[in-house]
Amino acid sequence: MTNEIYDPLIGEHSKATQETLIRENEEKDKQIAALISAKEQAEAASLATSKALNYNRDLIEVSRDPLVTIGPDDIIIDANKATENATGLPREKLIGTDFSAYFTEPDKAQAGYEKALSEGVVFDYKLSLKHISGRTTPVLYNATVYRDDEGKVIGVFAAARDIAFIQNAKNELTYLMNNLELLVEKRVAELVIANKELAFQNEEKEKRAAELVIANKELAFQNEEKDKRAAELVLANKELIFQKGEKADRAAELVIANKELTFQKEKIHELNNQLEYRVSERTAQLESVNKELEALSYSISHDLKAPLRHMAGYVSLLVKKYNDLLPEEGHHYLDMISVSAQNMAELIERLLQFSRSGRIEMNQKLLSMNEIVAALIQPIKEQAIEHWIEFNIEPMPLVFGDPDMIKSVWSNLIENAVKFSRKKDLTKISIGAEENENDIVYHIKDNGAGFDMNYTSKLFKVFQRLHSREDYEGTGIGLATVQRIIARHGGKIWAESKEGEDATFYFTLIKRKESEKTC
Amino acid sequence: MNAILYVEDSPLDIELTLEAIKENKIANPIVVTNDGVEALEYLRCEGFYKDRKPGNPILILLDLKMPRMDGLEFLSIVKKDEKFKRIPIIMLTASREERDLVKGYDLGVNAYVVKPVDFESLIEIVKHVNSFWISINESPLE
Repeated sequence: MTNEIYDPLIGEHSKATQETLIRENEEKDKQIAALISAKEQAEAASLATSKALNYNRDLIEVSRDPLVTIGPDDIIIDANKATENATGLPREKLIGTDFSAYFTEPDKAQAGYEKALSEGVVFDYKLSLKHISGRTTPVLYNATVYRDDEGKVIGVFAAARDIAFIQNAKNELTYLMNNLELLVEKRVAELVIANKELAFQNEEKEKRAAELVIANKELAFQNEEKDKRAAELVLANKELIFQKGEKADRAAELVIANKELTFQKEKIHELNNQLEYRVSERTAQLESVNKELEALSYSISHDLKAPLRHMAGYVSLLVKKYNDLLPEEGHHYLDMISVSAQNMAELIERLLQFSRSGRIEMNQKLLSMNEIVAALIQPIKEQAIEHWIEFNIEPMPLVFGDPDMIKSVWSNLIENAVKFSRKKDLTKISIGAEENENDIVYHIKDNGAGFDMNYTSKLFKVFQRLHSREDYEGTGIGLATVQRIIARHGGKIWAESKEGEDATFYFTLIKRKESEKTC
Repeated sequence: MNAILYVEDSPLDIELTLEAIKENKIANPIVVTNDGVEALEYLRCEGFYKDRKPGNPILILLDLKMPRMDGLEFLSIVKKDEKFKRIPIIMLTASREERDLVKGYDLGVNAYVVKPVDFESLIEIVKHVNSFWISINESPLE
């Protein structure tokens, strides 16, 4: 099969195999015919041998078959040349000896002889002749009695036919027959396999054909796609040409824009320089103002408070030491001096706080609003024995801020809530927070006096009051301080109210990312 | 009995404070000096105080704003001096918003008191100062 060309599309492989097999079968037939003919020849030869035995004495000597005449007493009377060859002994030695001594089986030879004597003839009696060298020759004996003129048996004429070649031919034939059978079986098996292979290849062929159909369809589809792409390419090329044009236009525009940009950059640079100069000028001014402010607040804290302290101190001493010498009205006047001094001291302290809230360096930390608020409302709860205050504090997220400042924010807002709802039977204050994407909105709501929303803008200004000092005491600085602290934290503060019902203050603080945390 | 050194320039404050001390029946003698220079002279037994009874005061009450040598300067000198640095010093300030508070602590002050406007509060404060800094607090053995 190796010299065959295999084409999967037409299955040439199996066809060639079949042809080879057929050719080999024909060869076999020829061989069988030859063998049969050989057998026939062998049989014919055997027949000829039998016939030769009937030839007359003259032909005896030229016969290739060993011929002997044996007397009635088993003694060889005559022998031809072929007998000499087969036994290796000259005729003189053979004549007068017992004939059976020259066979491998003397008894069988004797029996054959007796059979010939009794029956008159013996055909194809199998014996083996012994040569003096030891070699034996398989022979078929044909013997007939011969008689004298009176018809009396006087001996046996025996002819031995060398059948070694027949034996060989038979053996050969048997071998060839067996071999043939094997070959036929082998070929049949091969044919079965070849047929299976053929069937398989036919199947494969069909599959390939089906695949080809699909492949053809795919090809047709791809051709269509190719056409589409080609059309698209044509369009794209047109677009490209158009865009090239646009690009050129844009490039020209860019050149103009760049010039404009350069010009504007120079202008901006100039403006920046001016701005920087102005900023540094303003900063210097601000620094100087701040220093003055600091000096002023220092002066206020010491120089304004000292006389107040002295006034209040001496009034107290006066009351302590000369209480009995003063009429009741005198006591009242001294009380008023004391209260006024206290108020002024409080005012000064708050003003300093307000001033400080704008100047002091911030120290931001992560704060718990709930902890701060809880600490602030605890003393309020303890003090409010006569007036019940209901606090509702929701959990609030942690936030970054300056602890002191944020504490001040809550302190001011809670104080305000308590103060302005004091006149209600039950004060309700709720505190909570809402988290947005960037900030947290805190609120504190009370059910107090509230305020007129028209004056919201005044709420967070210094010394602005929306209620009389007689109704609600206070300095008018607290919310201004709160607003300043929230602003410094980057947040906003606002308030909503229904006058006489409630007020809610909101403020926001920025949510800081983890990475911005400081310890 | 060791003295209390009171450093203050305002005569009115001095009078009121002495009244408050009297109210609390504090037995320790009170030495008043009007500025840092005079206070140092007392500590070092110099000048006017060269013949004073030896011994350090049990407590120093120190005002901050004074002529010649103010409270902070006095503080820095005393707290560096081996002989005086263990004397407890209470700073007297006019306001809680006092910017010198932190500086005072940095220099080693032991406490601070805001001078109250109300005289009754002053009496109360002096009472607390006495009970802690004079009765309870003990200086380490020399």
